[in-house]
Amino acid sequence: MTTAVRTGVLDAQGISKRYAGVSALEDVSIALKPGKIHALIGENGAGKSTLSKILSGFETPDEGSLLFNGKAVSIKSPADAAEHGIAIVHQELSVIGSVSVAENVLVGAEPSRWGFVNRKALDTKASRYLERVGLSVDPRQEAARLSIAEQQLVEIARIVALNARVVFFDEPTSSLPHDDSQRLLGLLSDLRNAGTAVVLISHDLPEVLEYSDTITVLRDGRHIITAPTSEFTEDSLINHMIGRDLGALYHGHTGSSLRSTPPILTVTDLEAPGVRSATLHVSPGEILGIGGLVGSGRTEVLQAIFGATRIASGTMLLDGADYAPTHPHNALDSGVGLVPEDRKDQGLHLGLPISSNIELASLAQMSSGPWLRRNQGTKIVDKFFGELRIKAASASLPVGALSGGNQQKVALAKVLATNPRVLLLDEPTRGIDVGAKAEVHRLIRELADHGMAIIMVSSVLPELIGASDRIVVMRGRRTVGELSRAEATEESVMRLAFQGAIA
Amino acid sequence: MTTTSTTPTPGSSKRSASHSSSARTRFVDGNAIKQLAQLGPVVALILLVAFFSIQAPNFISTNNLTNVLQQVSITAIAAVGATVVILVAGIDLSVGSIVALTGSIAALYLQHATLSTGMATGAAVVITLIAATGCGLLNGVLVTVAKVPAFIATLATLTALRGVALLITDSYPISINNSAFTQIGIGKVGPIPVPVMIMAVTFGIGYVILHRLKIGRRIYAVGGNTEAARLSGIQVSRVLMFAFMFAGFCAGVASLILTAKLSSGQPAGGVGFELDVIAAVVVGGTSLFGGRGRLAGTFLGALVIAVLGNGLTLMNVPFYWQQIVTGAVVVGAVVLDRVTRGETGQ
Repeated sequence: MTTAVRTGVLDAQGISKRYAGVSALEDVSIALKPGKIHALIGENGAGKSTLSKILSGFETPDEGSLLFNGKAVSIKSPADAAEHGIAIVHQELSVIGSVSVAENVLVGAEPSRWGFVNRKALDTKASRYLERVGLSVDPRQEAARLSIAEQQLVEIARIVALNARVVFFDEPTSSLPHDDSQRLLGLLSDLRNAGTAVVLISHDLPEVLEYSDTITVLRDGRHIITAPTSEFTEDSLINHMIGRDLGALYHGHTGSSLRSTPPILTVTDLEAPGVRSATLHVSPGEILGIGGLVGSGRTEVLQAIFGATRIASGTMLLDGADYAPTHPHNALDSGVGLVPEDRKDQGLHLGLPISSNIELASLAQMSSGPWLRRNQGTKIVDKFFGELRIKAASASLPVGALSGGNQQKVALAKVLATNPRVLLLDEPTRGIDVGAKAEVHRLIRELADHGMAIIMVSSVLPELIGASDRIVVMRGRRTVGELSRAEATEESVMRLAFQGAIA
Repeated sequence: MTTTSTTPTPGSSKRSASHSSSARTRFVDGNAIKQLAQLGPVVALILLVAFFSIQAPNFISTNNLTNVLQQVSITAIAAVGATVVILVAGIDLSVGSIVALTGSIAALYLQHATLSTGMATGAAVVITLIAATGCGLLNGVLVTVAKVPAFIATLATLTALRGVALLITDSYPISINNSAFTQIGIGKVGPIPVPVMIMAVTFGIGYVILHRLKIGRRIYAVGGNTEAARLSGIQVSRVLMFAFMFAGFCAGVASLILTAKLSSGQPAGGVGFELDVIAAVVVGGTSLFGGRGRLAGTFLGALVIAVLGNGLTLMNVPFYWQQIVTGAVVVGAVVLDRVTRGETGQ
């Protein structure tokens, strides 16, 4: 009794977690109390998801201990967590679409006799839980036919049925319309009132301030502050979330004379899969940064401009002429190139030689009719090997054998070989080491200095602010504001990313 | 003792001498393993030939070896097309039915042709190849336009094209009375059988497509990673369509040889042919997941299976044993492929 200093149902003490040597969490402690909603906030990559995964058994910590009701426990799998009454509602739904609603609610706990499920009891029992979460659907209906909001309620009904003591909600409202969000947050309050410890991970600051009892802010994998919600304001939260030094990594921009150049690409009211409304423009010689949280529609804007997704409405002008690509090859033919976010799945063919990768997007230039002119290809490959300083013993090696930084250079070379006038870069320095990052930044600036128009998406704020001439910020799949070089600070970007347009 | 375990061995210290040299050493090792994997069919072939030349009477004779090449030609030709389809991560189960249907069409045409034997043969060749490429086009449309998975689409045409063949022939074999046409199957130019020459030409065409034309790069790219290929501006549907049409074309070439050899169109012929063809491709080391494989491997794969069949026949091993052994070889080839791929970390 006397040793129980902490009163939480679940206490995490000194948790550290590293991935491939990179620290994702460092010495983080948190105490979750019954009957409270505890919000966990921070920028992209601050460690919120890692922490919730460790506490719910999806990951094991490298250091630190977990106490459940004051007793040390080891939670090594989601099954261990479930045994302690710990549940998580993921950002991506885990409803099984092909079976009935009732079976989803009571999955693993179906009323049965001699191994045969009692369907009638299953349906009545499930309806009771569905009623509690305010979902009036036929429990025998196939779950796939429900809307996303309804599926989310099914997941919550499942948690209610589990009688969970600790529940994690990872951005539960990010994909919901306003009304459904309100309903969901009401349910969180109900869970709290029933004595459950609720953890809410959210990017929506007004929502956090209204519904939570306690807030913990994480930054760069470290615990920054935990305090009662009443002690915070939106501004103070933003200050806690940012507030690190700007790295000296970023190369200066050349000047402001560029801004007078008329834009080469103008996007107006663009609506596309994953984009509600985007308006932006970029001029030759300019680096336009797109800021915003993960899931705010940044990648999707680039994909729509590149013709990788179908545009629903809106207009794009390239060099004053209508531009409406329906396939990436239209974009490449018009001089628009994309280096995608995910090198392994989208940017490169890891099993093919470096040379084939570099040549792949510009085969037309390296052939006469259907015939490949291999000398031409070799010439172009050699050129980029030199210019981008790709470090590899030979261009015939598979790309997969290179380091991340060199892979990224190959991905860049592939697009540059098409001679783009507009270059779209999605997280151009993700997963590469510091030295290679600096080199990629230098390259991007050089390309702009040679007159290329560049649009860059980056989740790394110092990179975004350091490298961009101008920044457009997205929130909730819309562009919500634009910041000039002089206006762009971590605070101003984050403010737009979290709060939308400044009044 | 404890110090020796932490002291780098001479080999490892050499590797870590500089970053680039260590990287280079790794590449060489990786390539060596891969080359060994590519040699798998060669080693298998050498072992088989050595075994049968001791065990099977008359195995090593010009006559028998020519016979093996002639036997392998029909499978190997269709396997050129199958290699391309499998490289784009597709599959074509309909080759046997394409062979039966187009062979029947050729025979029906020749029965009714009023041209000279030479002219009629030329026309029959053209008609057969167009019909076969058309069958491939149908497969391609089902896969790219109707978006039916290749396995299901070609399973459907496997059945349906067979039905058409039986329909147009009333289920009877159609005999051919054209001495020029039958030369395609049984003729020789000097010592070399015509089918073997046609096989060489087909492999040549396949090589040019895969390694000398733009489409070849696109074929490897689409099979290796469809999304990355699309984002490189490649029109994936066109590449898939090409692969299925080329597979149809190759099945047509195989059909010409078979039909000529039998002097008749066989609407019920070629049952199970697709399995021989796919087995040759797989034993040759082409990945069923697409993007990885070579025509040389396919040729060796077809040869391994043919030598196995021929040698066992000469040894008077019952046919059902041959089938069991062939099945084991196919599984062994895939296991070898998986093991070597695991070691190279791909």
